[in-house]
Amino acid sequence: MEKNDCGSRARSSRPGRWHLAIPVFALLFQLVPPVLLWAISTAAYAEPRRLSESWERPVSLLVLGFSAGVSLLLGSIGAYGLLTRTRAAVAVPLILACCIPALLAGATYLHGLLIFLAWV
Amino acid sequence: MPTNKPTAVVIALLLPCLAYAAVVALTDRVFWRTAIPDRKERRAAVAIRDNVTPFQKWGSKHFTWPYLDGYYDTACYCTQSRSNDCKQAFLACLDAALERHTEVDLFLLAHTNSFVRWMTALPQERRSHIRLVYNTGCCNLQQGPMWLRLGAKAYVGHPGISESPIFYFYFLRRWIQDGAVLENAVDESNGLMQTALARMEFVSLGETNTAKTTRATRAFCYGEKRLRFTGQE
Repeated sequence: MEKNDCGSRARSSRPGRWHLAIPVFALLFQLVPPVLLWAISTAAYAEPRRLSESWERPVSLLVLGFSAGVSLLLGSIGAYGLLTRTRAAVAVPLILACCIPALLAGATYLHGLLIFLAWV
Repeated sequence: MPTNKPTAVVIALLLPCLAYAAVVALTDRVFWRTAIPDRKERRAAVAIRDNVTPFQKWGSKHFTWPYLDGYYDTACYCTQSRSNDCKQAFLACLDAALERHTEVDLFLLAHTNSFVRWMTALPQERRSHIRLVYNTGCCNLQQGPMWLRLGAKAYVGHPGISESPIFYFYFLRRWIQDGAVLENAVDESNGLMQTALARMEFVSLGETNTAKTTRATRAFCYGEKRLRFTGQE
């Protein structure tokens, strides 16, 4: 029992790697929105339609909102984790390579969503 | 050495705001005043999209529809497919709109097209309610005089093999603004389109020829250039 307790303490005290994983995940997530949007458009304009006209718009807006939210959140949390847990020499290149592209993509989906809603 | 937490929080919150500002700067400004201009009850819009890729059809519709639906009393949007050219639905929508509204705008979102020939099916007195015809078709500027003879008040088109979707993105958002004047909306959209093409030339390392594409895409207006979105006075 004691050995097990010591083992679990040792594991939990080891610093996690989430601060490195999130920026990479933020970048990898950028593969998802284009695939989803392509799938929606293909389903909506296939002959015969596989996505009904009444569902096409809500689903499209939901996907844009989801893509914007996840991209912006992962980009921000990723940048925060890198800044607080790694040296600048590691943080800056990873933020530039992973977080900034995710944030720009998220901002693009957000602007697209607001335009598609005619709110801006 | 890692950054302290308050500074990191500020940076993490600032980065999405900067990203949004960059996207706005690279695409189009934000229009905060989205109130519907007066005399909406007089206006109707009918749009038709040709049979392009599903993604292009999807993008055109979801960009266009909220503006037509929100800023016009009645709106109708048709998308052509391989098996249906939408002629019947389009003419039925247009006929109904012309019967009930005195200012009907037509948006022809199609490659080089001849929708103008369909118009002869409509009675002359109703065609006089057509206000603006905007045509994205390449080389379709020459249809301007024909549309005016049919009864349209104004026609906007492109002279060559154009990148008209870029112009249209700017134009629609300006034309539906309160107090918009057609000529001003066209001029501003032409300028923004040229800037966008210059950026594309930069990004594509010279693959896009800005000067040539701008000449082909620059929209021109026939008819009443001082037409206002809210009416003629």
